[in-house]
Amino acid sequence: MNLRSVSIVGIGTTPFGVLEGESLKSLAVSAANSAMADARVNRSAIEALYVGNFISGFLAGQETIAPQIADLLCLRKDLAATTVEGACCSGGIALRHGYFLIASGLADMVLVLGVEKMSHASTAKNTEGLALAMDHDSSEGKTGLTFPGFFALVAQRHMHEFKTTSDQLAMVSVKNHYNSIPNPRARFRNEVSMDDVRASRLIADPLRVYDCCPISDGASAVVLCATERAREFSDKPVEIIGSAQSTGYNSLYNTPKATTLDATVIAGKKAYEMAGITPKDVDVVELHDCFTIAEIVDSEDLGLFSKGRGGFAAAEGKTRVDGPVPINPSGGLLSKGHPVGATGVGQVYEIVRQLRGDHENQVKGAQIGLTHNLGATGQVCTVHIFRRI
Amino acid sequence: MTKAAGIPVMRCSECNALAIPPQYVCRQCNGSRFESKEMGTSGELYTHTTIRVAPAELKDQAPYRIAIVTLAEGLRVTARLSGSPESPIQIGQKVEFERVDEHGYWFRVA
Repeated sequence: MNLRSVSIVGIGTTPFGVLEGESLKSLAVSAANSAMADARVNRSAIEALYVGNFISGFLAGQETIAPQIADLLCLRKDLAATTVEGACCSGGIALRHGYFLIASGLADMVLVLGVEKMSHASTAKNTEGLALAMDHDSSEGKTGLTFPGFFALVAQRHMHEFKTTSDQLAMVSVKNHYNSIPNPRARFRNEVSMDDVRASRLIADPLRVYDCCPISDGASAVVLCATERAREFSDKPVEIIGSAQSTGYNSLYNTPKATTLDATVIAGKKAYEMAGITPKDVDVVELHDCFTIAEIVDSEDLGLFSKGRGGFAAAEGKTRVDGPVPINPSGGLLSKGHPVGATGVGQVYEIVRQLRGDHENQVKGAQIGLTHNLGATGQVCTVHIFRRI
Repeated sequence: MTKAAGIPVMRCSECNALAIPPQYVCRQCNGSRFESKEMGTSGELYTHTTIRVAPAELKDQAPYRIAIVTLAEGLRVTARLSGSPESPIQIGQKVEFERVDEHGYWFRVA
């Protein structure tokens, strides 16, 4: 297989949070315009647009958003505009499709966007919307299991098998909140203490409010370009050296072990293999911490720590920005926020800033970064690996 | 809905692998013919949680317990646990099948 090298030459984003007065489309246009400006690219050069989005139909009453956004952006009319959906992994899948198009040689410049507008809808409506990603025909879906409930089942088993503690979970929340203090794009920029986490309301035992990520509005965009032309558009292009996607299980009862989300393991292995690296080579990670336990499980499933050691590693400070395995220096989903369709592209924005060396919470000398984006109950996963060139 | 004495599951007509319905293609042999099978009534608690913030339509029932139960031959099922959601329970504990209704499978602590 002869794939062309693909690089990111432009990035743009809105803040993540409660963005009143903004619409799905105003957010999308803002992020896309920033990314194209950052790439110093004329919009007429963009040959395709992929938009990652999950619930605009349900929450914003709007479908067919990719061509509509393309028209609003005044992109050229022979451009292919496609919406991709994979729940919380929509953004990661959109990136992968943009990557394919350039790697295959069919295009040189592609715009990839992720967007979600959630905060205008009630919590009940958001809960109902997010739950659309569960398999409602399954006996698991009928029980009234929620997303926090799903990860709570994972957490209880993890605690039972590996002596992971609630305090270790809390450490993840404390660390990610601390990380987003300097991040102007983050929804939360205040310090959260262990006692704050311990005293917060139980959502699904053992997970408390501070173990869960907040719904948010936001959009992020990146401009992809064939690496051979990347220097025309960026002084600091970032190459995509690994791109993988995998499929998991609809229900936790069919997952071989509740302490491992197989989709992450598979996507991780494929991405490392493609990039020709091992987990030890990764300098900075943005992974899918929709819940504190998810960060712990993901960090193990990605091979950053051995199975069962993720909680201990977090408690020992190994995942802090100055630790050996910096995880979510942006604040992650837990504190930067989780505008579902935008999250995967937002992670890429943060990693590119790290690899350019100008992040507000910079990992010193970062050369290789990884993003991990997980959809629904581990049904779909993408892992991307990036290198500064 | 069904009120069965034993736990209702599916068995692949080709390779006898067990599955929790609905399952259209056998995960073991990829066959697509299944028959109903009733298992015994006992299982073991694999993991559990108490849902305190429920979806709107189940708000009246919260807090409620959900568990994954290990049945014979390694088959697992996600189920509701009846009884007080605050009573102490432990992974590994025996549970007894109660029924299947619109909320899926129900077990109680044995």
